[in-house]
Amino acid sequence: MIKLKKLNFNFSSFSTEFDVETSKNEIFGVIGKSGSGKSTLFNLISGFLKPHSGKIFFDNTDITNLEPNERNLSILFQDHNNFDHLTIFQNIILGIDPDMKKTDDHVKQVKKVLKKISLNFDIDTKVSNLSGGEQQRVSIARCLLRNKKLLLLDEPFNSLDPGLRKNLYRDILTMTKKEKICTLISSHLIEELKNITNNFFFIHKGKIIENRVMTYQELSVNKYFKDYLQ
Amino acid sequence: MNIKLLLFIFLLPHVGIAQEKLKIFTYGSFNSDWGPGPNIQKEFEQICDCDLVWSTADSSGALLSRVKLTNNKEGYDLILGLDDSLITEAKESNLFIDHEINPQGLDFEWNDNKFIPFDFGYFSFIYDSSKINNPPKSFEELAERNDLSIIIMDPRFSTPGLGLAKWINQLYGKKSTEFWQRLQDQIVLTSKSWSDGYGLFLEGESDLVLSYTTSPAYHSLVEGNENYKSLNFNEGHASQIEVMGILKNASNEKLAKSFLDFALTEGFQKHIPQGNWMYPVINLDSNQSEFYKAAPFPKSLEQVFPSIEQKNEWIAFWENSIIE
Amino acid sequence: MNGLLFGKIQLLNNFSYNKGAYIIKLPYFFYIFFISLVFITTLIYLFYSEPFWDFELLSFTNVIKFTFLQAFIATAISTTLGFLFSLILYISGKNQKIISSFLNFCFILPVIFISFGFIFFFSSKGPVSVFFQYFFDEYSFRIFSLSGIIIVTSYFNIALNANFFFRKLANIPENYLKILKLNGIPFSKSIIYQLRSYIFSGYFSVLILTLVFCIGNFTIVYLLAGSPNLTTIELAIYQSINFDSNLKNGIILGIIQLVIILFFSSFALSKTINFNSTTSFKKTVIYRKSNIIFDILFWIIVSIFCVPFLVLFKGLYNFNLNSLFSYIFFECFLNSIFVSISSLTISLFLSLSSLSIYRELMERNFLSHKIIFISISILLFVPSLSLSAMIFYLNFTLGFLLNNFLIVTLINSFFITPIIFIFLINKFMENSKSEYRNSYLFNIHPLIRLIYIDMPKIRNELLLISSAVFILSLGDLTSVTIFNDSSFKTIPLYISQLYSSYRYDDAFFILSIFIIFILILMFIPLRYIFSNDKIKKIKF
Repeated sequence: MIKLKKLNFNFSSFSTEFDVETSKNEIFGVIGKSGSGKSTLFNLISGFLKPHSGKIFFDNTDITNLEPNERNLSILFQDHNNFDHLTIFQNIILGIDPDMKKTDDHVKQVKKVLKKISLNFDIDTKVSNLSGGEQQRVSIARCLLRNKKLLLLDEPFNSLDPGLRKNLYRDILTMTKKEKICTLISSHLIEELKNITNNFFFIHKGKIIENRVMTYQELSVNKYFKDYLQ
Repeated sequence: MNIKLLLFIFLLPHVGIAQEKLKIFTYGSFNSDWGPGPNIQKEFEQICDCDLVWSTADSSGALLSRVKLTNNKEGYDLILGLDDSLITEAKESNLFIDHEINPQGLDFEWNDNKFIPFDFGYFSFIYDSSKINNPPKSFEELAERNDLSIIIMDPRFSTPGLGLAKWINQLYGKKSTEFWQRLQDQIVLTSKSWSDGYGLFLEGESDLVLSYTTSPAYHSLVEGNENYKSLNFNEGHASQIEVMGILKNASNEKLAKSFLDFALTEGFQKHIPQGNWMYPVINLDSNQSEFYKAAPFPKSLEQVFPSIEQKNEWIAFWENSIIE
Repeated sequence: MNGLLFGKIQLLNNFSYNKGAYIIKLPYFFYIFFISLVFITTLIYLFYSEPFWDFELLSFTNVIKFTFLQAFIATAISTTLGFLFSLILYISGKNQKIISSFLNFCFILPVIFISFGFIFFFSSKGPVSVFFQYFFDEYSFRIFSLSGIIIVTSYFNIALNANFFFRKLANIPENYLKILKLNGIPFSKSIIYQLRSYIFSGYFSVLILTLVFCIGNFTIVYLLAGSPNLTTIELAIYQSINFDSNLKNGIILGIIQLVIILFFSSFALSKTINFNSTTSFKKTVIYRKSNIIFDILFWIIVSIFCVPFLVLFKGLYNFNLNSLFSYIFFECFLNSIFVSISSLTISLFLSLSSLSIYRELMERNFLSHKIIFISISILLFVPSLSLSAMIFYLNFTLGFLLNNFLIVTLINSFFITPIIFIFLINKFMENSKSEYRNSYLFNIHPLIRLIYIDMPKIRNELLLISSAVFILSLGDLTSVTIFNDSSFKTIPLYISQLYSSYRYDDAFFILSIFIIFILILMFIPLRYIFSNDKIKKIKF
């Protein structure tokens, strides 16, 4: 469960303040206009930005002052999730070993997670030789290996074709349920998000509307959301 | 006002300004502000009713090369600043004409038909006596003195450098390379021109610098500084006679000849001792006594006029000592 | 494209189509004609007038050995220190655009200024000697040595290499840094494992460029050395022409150097040499946690690069109005300005002409666009004195038809043209497919396209590179050492001659004035480019 208590970050031109609490670990969609503060929210939760005030709690633990690597989370971006010149093995194993040592145990673990996401490649294949969707799968595999309880996905599949996106969303859903993790996905593709979740944070001008998780039905009567859809 | 009158008044100063020009090609220090060139120019222009135009090369060694390479397309009338080591090579280039002057009253015998001497000197090493109180008295002793650093000029590009190569050859002959090798560790800089090297010596880059026995006279008479002295070698010092000659395609041969004539008169020569800091070729004891006192003649070696092959051999002895 | 502009274009297009059809290609063809003439006369000279088989290569073995020795040492030092400096500069977290501009600035400073700066710094009466001699009697470092040549040569190349690596570091995708941070991978470790390939990609071209600059070392060796064991091929060419009156040796040495450099640069020519544009920095700057050690190291590095500027104090201390208002100074100053303006003008015409032809061939899918690229970028690797030797012979054959001003201008323009060409090529080619389609549809003439579409597009880059190459040309001391006379000298040559005549005070004073003038020239375009820059700071 994630709890943001008056989490504030000020830019020169505007400020953000997030105040929301979730009750259980499931998928939450994070939506809002470009520049509304979605990336800022993710940066605050992951620890890449230090808030000017407020607190972040995850599973009742105050993580506000923890470094990103001390937080129990993984993150997936739209691009540059993998080091192109490194192999599948290296990109996955760096999640638990910075030196990327190729021990028998490590190889076993990597093969196991690859099987989970149905990626059938030689682990010594360079990531640059994979397609976009396959590369994102490698990133998901790393997240799986890290076995963290909070997963942040910042517009991860936008550049992929619809069929691929559907499969990857399904993989995320399976992973969330199986591993019992809390997943936040930001995306503009609301229709696709609706297929995997009915819990949304709608961010407008740096704030979460009504400071709570809302269903799609609740959002659809909100005037800012209607504005956003247009 | 009448336009024609106005024009006449305006143009009047320009009438008669189109004077004859004499283009002289020399080395940089001769025509510098502190060299003899400006004063010589004033003297000559008064008597010739002409304009002297100076062009300078990076070093004395570059003078002959330049005119050989371009066949004097730049149109110089005469070269001032070659030395006795380059006369044979200069003659073989067929770029110079007979001067038709009969030099009189020179301090030494001179028989060359293409070149006129205008000053001479003796090579030596200059040091600061306030820093060195037991200077070497011979080349042999110099070679033993590893505590002394030396600046020399490049024998390929500079007549003083070539003079040093000649000097060593006169003393050591075929063993010159060996002698050069003994000296190599002490040579901290090989400059491309005399003024380059001498300036760095004065800035403290070395203990000794290759120059002339007359150099201390400048410091003594102009700066009042008696510290700079010349080494006095038992073996004797090699000499250098600087010469000038008229180029074949000179645009003003007559004026060039009259300049050569002028060079042997007191009007020219009086500017040499305390201008170029070399000895004049005519005797000026009467009015340059303080110069002669400040720059006494050293023990001299025989005058040499080498062939091109001999000159190249001197340079090769030096080059081999660096490369081997 | 708005309606008014479009109308203007159509009007001019109709007017000038036939007349202007070849104007755009003319500068490039003139360049090809001239270079071909130079090479043909050189070949005739070597095969007929003065047969090259008499050339004694063995007598130049030392020169060739020394050329490569100093080049390899300087390259190794430049690479290593360049990389280390870039890391420190990056980790210090200071303004990235200013750092990159500063490094660019150090790279294009006149060689004569840096050389004299270090001469002053390390001279017997300079600050280093005074300091060390106080503590160590035995201190006797001399700048006029191999070490001195390496120090000065490395200055520029460290700046070049440091800037390359720094820009790479500054442009590491933000997400890469986040992944590293998230997985607890220290930055130092990631340089070795995760980021190494990214940081070093494209470096090979820069390495070759560095090596080529070091091989073609002339001015530094001219000012600091010159004896048989401290002579590079470039200096040997100069000595052959100026002192040995041996044009054949000068030309053959030039060809040997050219062949060697082409051999090395062929590895680089096949890869894109990416000169940095003004816009490759992200707007978001990520700061590291402040660290006093890196702050100190940062300022040490800045101080190292500022060492030559100490000579300004010496120069201005000897303020001398007589030197400043002398006829010869004005003459040299005006010559320098006119040569630089003329070189820049010729180069701009040549670069834009070449870019247009290159693009036209590329748009029409002709492979010959590569020939255009090679024929221009190859000039980057042709040392100035090598070309000077060949042009000297051509001029001799023509009865010295070309005067020194014209020759120096041409040679300068040949060495700055490839810089402009390579710097502008990416921006020039931006959107070329859609522009080509539109031009074809609306029948827009290439010359009109160049003036009304391309020029506004490349305006910032053009301003920046023009000021940089103008300064490079102003500070040049290569071909002018051969092509000069009593009425034609440039400021760098004048300064070196003052120094050689033991007029140190005047030399340093004129040098200081010259550099201040150059700093003012640099300031104007930088101010224009920085004026639109807003940087958001986010703490990491």
